Amino acid sequence: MSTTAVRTAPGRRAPDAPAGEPGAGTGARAARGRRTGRVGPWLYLTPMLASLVVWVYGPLVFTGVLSFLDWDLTSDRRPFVGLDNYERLFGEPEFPQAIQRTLLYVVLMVPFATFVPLGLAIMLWKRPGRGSEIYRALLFLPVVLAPVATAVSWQFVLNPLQGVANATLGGLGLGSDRNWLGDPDTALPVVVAVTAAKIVALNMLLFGAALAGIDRRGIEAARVEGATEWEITRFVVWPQLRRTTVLLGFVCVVLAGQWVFTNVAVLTQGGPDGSTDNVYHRLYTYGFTFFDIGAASAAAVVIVLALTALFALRVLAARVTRRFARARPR
Amino acid sequence: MTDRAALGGIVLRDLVKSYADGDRPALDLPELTIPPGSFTVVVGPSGCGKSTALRLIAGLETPDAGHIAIDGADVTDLPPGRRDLSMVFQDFALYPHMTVAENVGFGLRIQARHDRRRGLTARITRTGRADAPAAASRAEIAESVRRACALVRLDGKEHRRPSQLSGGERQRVALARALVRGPSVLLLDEPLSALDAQLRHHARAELVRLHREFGCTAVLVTHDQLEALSMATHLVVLDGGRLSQAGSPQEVYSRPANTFVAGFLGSPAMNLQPVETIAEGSATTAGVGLRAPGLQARLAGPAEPLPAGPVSLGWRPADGVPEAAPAGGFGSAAGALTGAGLVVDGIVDIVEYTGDGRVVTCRSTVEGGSSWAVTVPAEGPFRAAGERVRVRVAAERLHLFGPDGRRVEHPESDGPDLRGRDRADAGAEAERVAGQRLGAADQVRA
Amino acid sequence: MPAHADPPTPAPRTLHRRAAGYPRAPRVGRVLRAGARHAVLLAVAGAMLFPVLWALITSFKPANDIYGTDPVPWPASLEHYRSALDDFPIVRLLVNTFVMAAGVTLAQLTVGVLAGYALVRFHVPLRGWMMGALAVALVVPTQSLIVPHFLMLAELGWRDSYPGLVLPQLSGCALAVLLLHEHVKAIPAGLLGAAALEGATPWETLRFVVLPLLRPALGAVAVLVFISTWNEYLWPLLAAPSREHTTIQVGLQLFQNQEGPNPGPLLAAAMLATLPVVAVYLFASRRVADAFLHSGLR
Repeated sequence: MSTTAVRTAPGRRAPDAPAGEPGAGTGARAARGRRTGRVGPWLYLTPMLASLVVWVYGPLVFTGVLSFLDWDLTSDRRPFVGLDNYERLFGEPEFPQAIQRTLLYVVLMVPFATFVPLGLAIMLWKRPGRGSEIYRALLFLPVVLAPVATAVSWQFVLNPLQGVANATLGGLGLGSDRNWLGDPDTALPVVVAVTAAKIVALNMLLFGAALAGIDRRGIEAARVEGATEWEITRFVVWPQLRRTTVLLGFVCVVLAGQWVFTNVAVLTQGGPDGSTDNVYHRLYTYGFTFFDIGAASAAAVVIVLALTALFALRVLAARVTRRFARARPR
Repeated sequence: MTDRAALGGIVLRDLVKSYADGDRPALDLPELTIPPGSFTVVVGPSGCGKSTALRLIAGLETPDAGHIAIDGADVTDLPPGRRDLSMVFQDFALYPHMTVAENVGFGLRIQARHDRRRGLTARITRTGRADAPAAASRAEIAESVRRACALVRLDGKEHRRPSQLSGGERQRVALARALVRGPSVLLLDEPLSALDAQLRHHARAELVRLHREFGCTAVLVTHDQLEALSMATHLVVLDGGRLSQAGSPQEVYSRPANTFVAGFLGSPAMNLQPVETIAEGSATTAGVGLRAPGLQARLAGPAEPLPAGPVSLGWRPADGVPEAAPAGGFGSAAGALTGAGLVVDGIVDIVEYTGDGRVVTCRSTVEGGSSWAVTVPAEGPFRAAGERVRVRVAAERLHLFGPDGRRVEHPESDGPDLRGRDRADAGAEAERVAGQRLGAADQVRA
Repeated sequence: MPAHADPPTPAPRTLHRRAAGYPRAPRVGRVLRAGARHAVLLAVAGAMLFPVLWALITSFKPANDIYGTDPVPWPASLEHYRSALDDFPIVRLLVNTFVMAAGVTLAQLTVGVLAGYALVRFHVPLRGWMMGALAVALVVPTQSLIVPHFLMLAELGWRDSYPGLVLPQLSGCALAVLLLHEHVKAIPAGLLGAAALEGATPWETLRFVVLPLLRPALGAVAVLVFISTWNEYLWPLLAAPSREHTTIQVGLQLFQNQEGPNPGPLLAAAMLATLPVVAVYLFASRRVADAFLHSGLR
């Protein structure tokens, strides 16, 4: 008999429990506290909790405090100024303009987060095969391209004097003197276009996954019932994608400002005349161009509060719809 | 019950477990003993708490209150790995990234790892104890794994992955994994439900054989009453988180403690009919009369006073003796009853052929009477719907249940005193098992 | 790959294959329709990729033809690449970027695996609060944290250092935690129970059972985190502003300021900056796409 055959599990016979008397000793509360009272779980969770506290929630609180101080980063004095920073933020034209531009970005980006990738995804889904695979791979490429490299490439193509864009337009007789990034009328559309490529690519992938999850039998049933391809898309496929579309639209509303940030920073630095600015770039400018820590922090607080409100609204809306759906007689 | 606890086995006392979403406890067992060396089957409909009970014994769940003892030691506060038990999970829970051999040997490797580490600590701190087990070597583990695989006839498949095995083979891997550690308690959570019908029958016999060889205390959970009756040496019926009845399968089957057990065990199910009592005091037929539309029964009298309220009468379809209608038709059921027993009249409604017999479901001849079933031989009368049938049931085959659904004994109720026999059996069984167990354990892990 | 360890969303490979398969239209209509489809798809692909493609072509043109509209860079010239490598510490910047991306990936995976496992394996008090804190952390934009991060960094004296580049990016660990938590949850509970029953400690269960099963998921999350960190621009700009210590993305911007009107070497450098990630994508496009698919929206 080898040692593995030693059948006693160590510690099995608890010394405090007399044989045949399982009722003796610990009570129900001990039983419940047994799993939760140990330190083990906390060892696993500490890295996450530390990361969140040190790098997310701590800094958030810190930002909140800084937003009440007047501090230019270099001086030793940081007087408490109450809500001055906020008043300044909304008293001067730049920040309100940045808010207005941010909303404009959102409005312009939403179609590129929803209907454009949806249409492309359906197109690829309808005719599966090698060709679609190649398109799929190609159209996803913008997601992995380094944004700075992309932005530098666009800048080169849109060079007002010798860029290939103007050269081509000139060749077509459409005028070759557009200053794409220097003209307030075209700068914002360019930033949107550069960012849109990435969003279209990513959301196309997500719509593709949603499409792949659709039960083929429903489509076959519709075809048996004589529906045309368009009718199948409109009445069978689209209703099943509505939720995904709404979700991706919402995500776009929340994140559009962050998505455009790098492109704004590299392509236009918010100009010309603040026409391509948004709140994130404004925050960056306050903090690291003007070293106005108070204003930058106040902007950060406003942004976080707005996003939290948006999020809460979404949760609330979902709850209301659910209740409404439940209350409605079937 | 304390004598059993002293012997060992598993004792659950005052055990309560609730889940957040339930309004009443998923399990509430004031006292349940699983005899040592027994093959105990815990049976009940889904949601009756049987899996919860098993998981509590295993230590995978924590009870809200109460205590669990295995072989006399309180294990309530021990983690699963230190309860000296193993388990076959419902979906077998094989590690998909390990081969058969690695799956079977995982527990031994972990054990050896712990032993090595303990040895190392002991050497460093110079607190080595003489009785500390030396860690098993790789070769020893491999040998144990080989034997366990051979035991469940998996030889030659040691290097396959679970995904390359059939359902039956996976079940055997799970068994080998459970047995290789030679646990004193083997828990089986619906181990046969994932198998198809043919395989299941075979696997059932296989399980019983392995248990006989190993002699460990086996606890099997199932919702299949046939499986329960055929495999158990000890049967536990749960309903709604509470204990309905526990005992030998024969005892539980022939003396169901309440209407739930009566209806749950046995296929086709026991006929249960509400009846009204009529006192009978004539000189020749003392006792109690029972009546329902189209049904007449008489018993020598309840052994205990009948509680007030509606009473039900039960009889198993196989206990009914059918007779065909004579040329002139039946008289009334009441007239046909002489002495104790039951007479019920019906009209054939559905006939189900089962191969070695037929189950004939009849509706009552009388308005308001309930329907019932009787089994008849494969060949013979009662083939067509609409035929008239009269069934007689002997008094000792009748089950009487009070208004609360609990069994009421009557003088004729089934003959042999099973409770006495059961107790004697349990003692003998434990002894027989204790002897065999050492032998089998040696075999696997020598 | 074990079946159940697949990510919760169905992998697109199989699903694309069994997509609609519509009955064929009559011939002329079919050709027209296919033509229109290709036209649309090519136009979109062109609009999305043309500038980068053009930059790639141009980077191989000789300096005197840099603004030419000839789409074929022939005779090809590597002079821009040579001068980019000479004028700017590109290799150093690539190494820096790699170290940062690998460091952030490793750190986030470690945090994510430990927490994701613990949240499934243990009954942790305040579990709901932690999940809530993770969800909110997901919404907090990195831009709103740069001021305090920057001040903390200055205080620690970590500017222009690897810890300074890597550690603050743990603010994005919520995504990794939530994703890996989902994947651990997808492992059948029976496997964890079986391991516990066989005497494995929680740590051994993690090491011998959970980690091997999590490998595909870890790969996916790693790809996602690595690529997005490689492409990160804002934080390196603040944390490592100097030429030698920053990342390639910020380096490009510095390079642009330095080179001014001479775009050739800049385009060559831009191509080098995006090359590693694109190379990975070309070799494993399906897996990279999957990583983004399951990891959603960042």
